[in-house]
Amino acid sequence: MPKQITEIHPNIKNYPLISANLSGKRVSHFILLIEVWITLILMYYINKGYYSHIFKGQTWSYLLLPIFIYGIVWQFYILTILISGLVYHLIRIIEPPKEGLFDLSSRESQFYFVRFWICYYAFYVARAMPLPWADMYYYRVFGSHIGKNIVLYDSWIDPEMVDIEDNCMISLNTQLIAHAIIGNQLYVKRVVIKKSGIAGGGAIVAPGTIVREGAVLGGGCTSHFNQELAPYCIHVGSPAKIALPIKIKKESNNHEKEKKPEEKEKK
Amino acid sequence: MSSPTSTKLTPPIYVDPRIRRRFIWLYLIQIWISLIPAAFLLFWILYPWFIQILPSILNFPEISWTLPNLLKKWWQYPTWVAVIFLPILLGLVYVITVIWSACVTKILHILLNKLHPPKEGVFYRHPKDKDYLFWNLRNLTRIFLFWLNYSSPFIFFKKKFTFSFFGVRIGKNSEINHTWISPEFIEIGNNVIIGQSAAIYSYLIQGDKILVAKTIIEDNVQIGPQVILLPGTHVKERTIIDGGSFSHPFTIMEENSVYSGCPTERKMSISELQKKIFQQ
Repeated sequence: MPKQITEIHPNIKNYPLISANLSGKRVSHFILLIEVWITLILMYYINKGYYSHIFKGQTWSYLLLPIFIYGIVWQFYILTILISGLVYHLIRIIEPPKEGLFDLSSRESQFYFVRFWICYYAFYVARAMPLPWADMYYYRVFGSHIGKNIVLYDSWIDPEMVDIEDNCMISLNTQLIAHAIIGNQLYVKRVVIKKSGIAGGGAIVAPGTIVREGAVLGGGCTSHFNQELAPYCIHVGSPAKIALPIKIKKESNNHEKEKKPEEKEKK
Repeated sequence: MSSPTSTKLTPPIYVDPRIRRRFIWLYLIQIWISLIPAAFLLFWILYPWFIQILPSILNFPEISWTLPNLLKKWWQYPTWVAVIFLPILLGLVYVITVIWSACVTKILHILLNKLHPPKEGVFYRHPKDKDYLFWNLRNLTRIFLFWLNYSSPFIFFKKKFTFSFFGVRIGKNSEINHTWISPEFIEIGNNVIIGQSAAIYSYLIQGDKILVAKTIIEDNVQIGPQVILLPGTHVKERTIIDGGSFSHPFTIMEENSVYSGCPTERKMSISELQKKIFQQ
């Protein structure tokens, strides 16, 4: 076992990427069960008065039953946002998320796993919703910065240490990981995707990568630790090496301005 | 963060549509049998709501033959007691259906294995081939149980009732969440880390042939995200496989070494890797 180090050697980029399939801790599962228990009890007392009034002797109200069920599903979604967000921020006060290398048995990484499982349950509920944008609000509640106009398809995105700015796309089955296992240690580093960056389908974004403005990581490619992808370039390979520049069309306003002098010449 | 649906909501099972269509009756009967205890329990739990709502439409019968009349009528307690125990009862329904349906599939598997024991090898991919037929039937009977396990956010019983209960060894401290692992001819040791959406197969289809072979992963192996291991691979102790790599069938990976690339190649040993990175 290597001795614990605080500063990371630049050679770390050659280390094979291993993500922790975070093991279930008993404490976090206990917290999750209590969360579900409280939400169901709350839902009973919120709905009881309304539904007992509606269904009393009015047979026509059974026609609205599908809408009622749909509303109850959304109520469950909103209540899980509130409760799991509250629990998450309480635990965050006790032990805030940090970047760096930690031993797997240390306090930081143990709390990392507990926070992970609390987010996991909430995201599971969000991803099971019939609307695809339901999970973005969860990322905002859990404190990671998510911009406007973005798409997160069916992809793995870590709940912590992830910044995604406006107009980004993260494609199907992409793994956007902000943590890795190095020997017996847990490595946590922030992943940043700047404006209109794209991670292709099935790509793996390693911890510490910075996707600059308009950069593209090709489908099925991986980036190594602490890599910076050049702005307005396509990166291919595993680890991503080749950078192909993207030609950008001028905006429509400029296009009109260019046309006008030609028209004048014709006249 | 949540894992892709390909590893979350669908169980890691392949069934040939020709055989699935022919034996759909077996699948439906299995679901029917495995949901019977859940139906009884749900009727018992939701009884007070039924007697409030339904009498306006139907003549709803007084409960007389179910479990609670033998024990005690729980809905006659004050409502806050009943409400506090309601989520626990709903959880109990889930647990009991998982255990009972596991028992049903186990009984079916014992019967199927007596008709034709499971075998490794290369088989003709046609319903007339007996090995292929029974391989598919075993998978067909697994679908419902695996769906129950894989479609819940809680993973208490996932390892137990998908693998260990059917005699597939998966060691201590090794997590199988968010991965696609074939349910047969697999052996995974202790303290194994498997990255999300990695796939470990024990079968491979090529043309009109199917290959079924055992894949073995020994103790303390670390496997990255999106790794694909095909049947017959033997990963020895303490090796590390880089994320996004892929291996051909029947590759044997040496112990204490680092593998990466498509297809995987041995890059260095672990001591070399540690020298490279941890020396300052």
